[in-house]
Amino acid sequence: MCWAIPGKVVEVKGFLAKVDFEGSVKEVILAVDGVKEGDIVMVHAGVAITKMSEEEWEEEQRFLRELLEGRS
Amino acid sequence: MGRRTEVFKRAIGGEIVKVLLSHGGGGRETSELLNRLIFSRLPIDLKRTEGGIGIDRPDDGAALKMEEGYVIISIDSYTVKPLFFPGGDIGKLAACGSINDVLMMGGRPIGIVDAVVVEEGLDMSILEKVMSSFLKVVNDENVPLIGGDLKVMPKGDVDSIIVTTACLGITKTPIVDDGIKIGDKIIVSGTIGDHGATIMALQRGIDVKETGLKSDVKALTDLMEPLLKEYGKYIHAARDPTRGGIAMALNDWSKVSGSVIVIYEEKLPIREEVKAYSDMLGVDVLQLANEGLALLAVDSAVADDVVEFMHSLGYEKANVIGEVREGRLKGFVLLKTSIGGFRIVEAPIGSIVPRIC
Amino acid sequence: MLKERIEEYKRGGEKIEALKSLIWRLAEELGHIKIMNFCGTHEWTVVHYGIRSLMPDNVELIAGPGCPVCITPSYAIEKAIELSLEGVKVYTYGDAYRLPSLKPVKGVRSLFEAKASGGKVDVVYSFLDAVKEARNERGEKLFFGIGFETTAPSYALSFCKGIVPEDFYFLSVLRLTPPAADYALSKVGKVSGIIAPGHVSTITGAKPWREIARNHSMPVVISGFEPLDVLISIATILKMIKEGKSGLVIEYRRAVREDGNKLARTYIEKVFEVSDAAWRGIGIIPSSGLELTMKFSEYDAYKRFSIKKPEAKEWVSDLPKGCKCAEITLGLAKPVDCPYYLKSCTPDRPIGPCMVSSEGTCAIWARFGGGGLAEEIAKEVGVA
Repeated sequence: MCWAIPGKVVEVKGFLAKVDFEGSVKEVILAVDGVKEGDIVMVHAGVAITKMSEEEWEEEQRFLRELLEGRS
Repeated sequence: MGRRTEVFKRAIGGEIVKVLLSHGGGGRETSELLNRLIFSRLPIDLKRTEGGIGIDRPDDGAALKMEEGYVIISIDSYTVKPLFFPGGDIGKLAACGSINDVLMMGGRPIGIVDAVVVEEGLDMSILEKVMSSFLKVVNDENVPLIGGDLKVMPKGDVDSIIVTTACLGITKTPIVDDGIKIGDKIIVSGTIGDHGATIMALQRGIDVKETGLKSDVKALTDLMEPLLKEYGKYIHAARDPTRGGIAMALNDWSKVSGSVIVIYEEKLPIREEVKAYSDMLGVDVLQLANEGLALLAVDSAVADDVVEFMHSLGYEKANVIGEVREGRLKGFVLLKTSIGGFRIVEAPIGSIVPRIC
Repeated sequence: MLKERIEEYKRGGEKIEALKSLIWRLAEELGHIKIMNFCGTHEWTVVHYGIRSLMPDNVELIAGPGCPVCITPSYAIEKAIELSLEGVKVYTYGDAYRLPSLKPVKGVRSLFEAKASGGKVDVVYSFLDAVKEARNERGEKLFFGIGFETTAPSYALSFCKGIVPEDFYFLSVLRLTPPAADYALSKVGKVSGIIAPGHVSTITGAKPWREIARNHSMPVVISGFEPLDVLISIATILKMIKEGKSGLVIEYRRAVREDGNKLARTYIEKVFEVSDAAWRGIGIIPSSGLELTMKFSEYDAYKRFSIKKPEAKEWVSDLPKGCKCAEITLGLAKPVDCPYYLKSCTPDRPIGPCMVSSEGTCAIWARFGGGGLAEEIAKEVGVA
């Protein structure tokens, strides 16, 4: 129901930010706390809805490894 | 499947009282409108030309049989917003577009004519810039400008500038879409969707950085002339997949040949920035316009050699993306996805609009 | 970098192959499994990447009520068309541009056709883009405000931060997902597990989905949208079924936090209040919509243009007669079960809303060869 893609924050101005999608820069609304330059955010219809987390990504990878290895 | 095509035919027939933008989108609605307004209302003798190719066999252009060989002619009107974009402008687009159409019919361009309609009040510097780029292509490609016209319309009666060009070419053996054969390999000469993505991004107010999106608009003379000379008889079909993208061109081919064209997602050359951008708006790269791309159907025996030859001509991203196959179900383009599943590639419908869901 | 690594989720490779064989292994020992997705984008991923063709025979993937365009009531579309023809500039997302109304308004059945008839309609990518354009537009403006929890923050922040120009009215057709999920599950009968919407969950967090898992005693996995994400979620559901487990798992950890996005929810609560709302063809679902609060009523299109919402007791279906969009939306029927599907209803000439939206189940099936057509052709020509 909600199309969103990741982009890199290049500039934060209050509740707005410029986000780079592989060279295409778009101004979006920030609906996420504590976003700074360099962060990867998911953008849906011109609004950043969540910040991607490196640590959680590692968790996700661990989850996948365990699933494939048959552990629970 | 016959049922599906039949259903589409019927569905398109409904009554429409206004001309919609999608009627000019180059997709199914355009074909249907042209059929209704023109093709269906002319007797066959006024649609074809003896021994040549008229509108009875839709292609990039027409071929007239001469005593020796053929004269190729192609015409197109160009409108684009914005007039200037990374990689080119409307002048370059108009010159390259018609030259490419002639090249894709297997022709060598020998002359070009233009008709320019300008809106009253347009900055003279803009018109000068557009015409300079037009002339630069004429110069670079060494195609004589042999005629033309310029009109000015009252302010508001036309939007800034429209350029129409027709290009003439000659050939001994024209390349026609219905030459496509079962077993042929499908080749693209470069990355897909660059022009369409760039224009859409600009229209959507996206800041296109220097490293970012760029139109691929260029004349394909430096590709097609050596290629035709070296491998001409093995090239069974050639297209300049502009509006509607390769999705439209491949659908046309699959229908003309009664085949199934299979393409492989992992083999499609797509620039990262084009992919990111089309992902952002949820549009299909296969449907985006190209203005400097050749799509070829080539005898499988020489397909790899052709790609290698294209690489040597500087078309480094050229690749075999699929092949023409035969089956009980006809007229489909099938894509094998990156994860091994399948989906159908549709001919574009309507105007391309961004989606949020 | 994280972004590059996510790309791996789109491609084939060892992990995809390992997951495919894991799914087949797990399914071997199970009976018929019906997994429902609640998000049109998941359905899009499933068809776009041909995931159904990779499933064992006993694993059925069905689509649920996850398309905000498909369930937008016809009265709202009709009103937007009418206003656009009367000179109000209407901004819409591309998704709703061709959405057909039940009744024609002055011979016009969508905003797309309205534009060709001289109506003032503009397609935008975001509410922010519309706000920027509206500043330079004289006269009254209207935003056709579709969406679920994910889209609501863009409106909420814009209103709170005061960037929305005067005489720019908001026609809220915002809907909430968990109430619809509950409703669909009460109608659809036995479902073995649920793939829950990843982007909605970035806002709502895990709580509503955990409740659904508990109330219906089944596995629910909040999933990302790359093909690998969906395969992981399917495998996880099968594994939980095999182990007799129910409950909630978050697969899409890189984006979804347990407690969701509090900031976004705070803004949504400031600007909107929850109300009973109409879902096209389905009816009024209690507490499933968002409307502007009194504080922002100056922007409320319902007030400015005296638009009346249907009451539960007077509600009648706003789908064309015979159109099975509601049943398809609720997972009760498949597109091929509808008498119009690819006969009189096609992507070129849609009859029902499910044939319009890029995430409407019928449109996705028709465009990409769902319902087995793509697989059939693949087998025919010897590439499957």
